[in-house]
Amino acid sequence: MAEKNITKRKLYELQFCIHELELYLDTHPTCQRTLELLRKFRTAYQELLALYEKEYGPFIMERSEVPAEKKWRWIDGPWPWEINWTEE
Amino acid sequence: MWKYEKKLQYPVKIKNPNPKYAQIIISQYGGPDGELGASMRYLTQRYSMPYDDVKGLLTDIGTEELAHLEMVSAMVHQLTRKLTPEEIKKSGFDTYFVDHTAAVYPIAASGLPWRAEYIQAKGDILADLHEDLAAEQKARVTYDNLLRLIDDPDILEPLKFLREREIVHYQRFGEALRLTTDRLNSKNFYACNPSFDANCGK
Repeated sequence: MAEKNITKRKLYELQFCIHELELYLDTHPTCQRTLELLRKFRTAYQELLALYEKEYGPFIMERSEVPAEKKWRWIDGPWPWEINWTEE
Repeated sequence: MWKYEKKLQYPVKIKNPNPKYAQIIISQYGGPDGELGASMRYLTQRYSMPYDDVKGLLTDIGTEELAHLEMVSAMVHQLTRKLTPEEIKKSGFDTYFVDHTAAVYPIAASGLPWRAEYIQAKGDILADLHEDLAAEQKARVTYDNLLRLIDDPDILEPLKFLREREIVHYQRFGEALRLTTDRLNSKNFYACNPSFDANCGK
């Protein structure tokens, strides 16, 4: 379980970096340095996300249909607002 | 967390502006049975829902309602393009225009601004799902009424799409209610609240 939380924490961090760069680009659309940085962070995020979702289920509904599976896993808990205090 | 998709759920392309129509359609944005209330109602109720599948359903329908909000806003926006002061006065749009110009603001057709009283989160799964079923029917009636008052096919097509979605959501909430009642122990059916009491229905 600890592994899950560490990976999730890294995903939070990468996603936050990506979001900050995207907002910055909204007002600086030609900044090459930011565009390059965004490419790097997006690649890192996608790689880690693929590992996480394979293990623990999808973050977004679009990726929730895995052909090999016989069940719709999207509705599986815990939902993001739920904390299992015994795991912490 | 949410992500934005740069498209509408169903296309809106209205050739002829009509401020009178905008003034009644806006009720499905900020009116008592509008899409803003629908989204807030379902997303708010999620936290006291005891079952994972119903949490999922509220999340997914609440999210779809945000897309409906955007469609209704796009309709109002397109219907209020390139208006002259004469058209504004003649159509009766002046009472909206004076406060909001041609912005899209969440109010009912009567002019009443959106209020949280339009929604409910009771913290009881049976009460909340019945609220949701009623809400979908009320929204469907509002679309029925709009379809009676409007004769432009550019407007009717997206309105008919939205009306259909109310019916589908009603169906899904009905199934959620059935799943819920199936899970409750018939012996203490109304004596406990599965949203609050730890062992209710278990």
